[in-house]
Amino acid sequence: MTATALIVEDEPLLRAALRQHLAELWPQLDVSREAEDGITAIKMIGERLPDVLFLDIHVPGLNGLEVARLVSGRCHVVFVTAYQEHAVTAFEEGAVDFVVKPIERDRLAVTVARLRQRLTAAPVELTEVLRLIERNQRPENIRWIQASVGTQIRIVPVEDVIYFQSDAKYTKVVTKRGELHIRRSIKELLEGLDPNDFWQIHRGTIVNAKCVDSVSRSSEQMRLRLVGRGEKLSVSEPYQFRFRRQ
Amino acid sequence: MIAALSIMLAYGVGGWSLWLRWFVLLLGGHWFADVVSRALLLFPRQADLRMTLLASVVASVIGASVITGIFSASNPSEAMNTTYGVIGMAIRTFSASSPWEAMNTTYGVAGMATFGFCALMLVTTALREDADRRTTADRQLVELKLHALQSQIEPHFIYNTLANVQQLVRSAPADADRMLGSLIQYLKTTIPDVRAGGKATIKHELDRILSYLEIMQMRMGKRLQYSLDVPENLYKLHVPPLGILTLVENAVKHGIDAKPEGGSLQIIVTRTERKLVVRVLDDGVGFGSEVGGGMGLANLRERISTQYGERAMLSLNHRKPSGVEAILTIPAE
Repeated sequence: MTATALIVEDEPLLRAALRQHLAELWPQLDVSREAEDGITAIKMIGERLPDVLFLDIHVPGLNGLEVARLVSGRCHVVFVTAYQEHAVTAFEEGAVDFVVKPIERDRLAVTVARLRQRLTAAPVELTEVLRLIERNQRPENIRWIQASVGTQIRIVPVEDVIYFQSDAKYTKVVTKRGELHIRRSIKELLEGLDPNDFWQIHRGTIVNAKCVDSVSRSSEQMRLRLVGRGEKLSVSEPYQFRFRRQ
Repeated sequence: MIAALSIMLAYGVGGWSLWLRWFVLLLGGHWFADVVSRALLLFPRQADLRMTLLASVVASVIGASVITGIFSASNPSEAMNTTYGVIGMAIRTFSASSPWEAMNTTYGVAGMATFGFCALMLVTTALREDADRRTTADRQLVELKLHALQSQIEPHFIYNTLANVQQLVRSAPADADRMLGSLIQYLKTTIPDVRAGGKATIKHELDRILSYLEIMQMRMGKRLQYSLDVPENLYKLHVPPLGILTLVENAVKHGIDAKPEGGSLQIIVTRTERKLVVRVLDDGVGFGSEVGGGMGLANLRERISTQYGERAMLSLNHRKPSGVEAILTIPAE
């Protein structure tokens, strides 16, 4: 029985390169099927499950990690990644294989040898590896906020935001030039904002540290006055430590 | 060394009690002057180096005098009244008819020594702090350039392009040659500009945009189409280096390449009397997310605002049915 492979890679030349290398290193492998985006890949996998999936992590449509999640435990996956992308150290575990672009023939030969051995065994579950990869992906700080204002879309650099405040279903974004509303919650925003520049001062409020003018206390209440603005923001107990003197 | 010499000298001239006074005076005067000079350095714009120095010297004399006066008096009220008080030291030093006479007064010696010592310390402090400020500014500039260089020439882009070239060498050597040519052109036009900072002409910017687009079109195949509409009479005008390229790269990477069927890119440059308007349009997936982390745009916005202030503007709009329109407006010069 010939093993079948599916190559998922968006760049046509790189697809051809991988196909040719594989044809030379593993003539028995059927490499006739290929997909150039994640959605096509899922469709083709649905039609006929390949034995081996060569998967570029960065493809349009559904990304490679999402495709991998869908085939986890059903076929052998080899990730194809660009240099230093997606923290390839996660692969060192040996559960899954990977090749780095530009493809080195000797490295691919090692992968092919391993795959031939593995074909007899059941494909491994990828859940753990995927979790590792996702954790290793360096989360990027939010640099801009996009919001609809009527039919127009405004894009505001994050440094122009004065504060974020939860407001029923939405989060109100107060900027130098008016207010916007976004769906992302305070909790989700906290994960992406630089904690040096943006401070949480309340369960539902994040303030831009550069816009804080002064702090005032009256009995139990602590309030922040903002540079050039009338309103004051209250600081709830768990976040007051930031403004206390040592 | 200076301290040891001072101690010996003071002991020889006036005995231990004088030495003690002098020592306190030296320390106190210098400390006082230091505080003043530091306070002034907090406002580097109002106080240039000379002003800082002058203020420091005056402060050191007053400080030294006050302290001498206080320590040589037997009680606080005497300290206020005594001629050795507040400005006594300075008067004695400066009222002497010759340096020699000043030297002969025991307080004169102390005053002059303090004065000289403090002035010397302050000159060195001020010079050092000024030098520190300069190095910080230089370092920031270098960091900015390095950052621009790194974000512009990603290893990712280089390696993926080389992977393509490698395949072309096997399958279509003539195309490999062409692609390598474009890569060389791209690197050649990009690296020196980042180093130089400042401005580039539209012609220069177009050269590298074309080399970038040629590379990407070979990599993406039919998924990328592009057109340029730039009148030749605008070629000599200046644009922020790598500025339009940032917009083009954004459109290709986040707009068109993210769409399975790909899309097309348009670059349109027009000029009104005073303004140059660059429009980069794509029909890709658009800003799908509410928040984003792209460095390029934030960088570009910062750069044009430093370079042109209020005269420049970068705005991004959604297009219908999909895609983004980026409009960069800068002075035509």
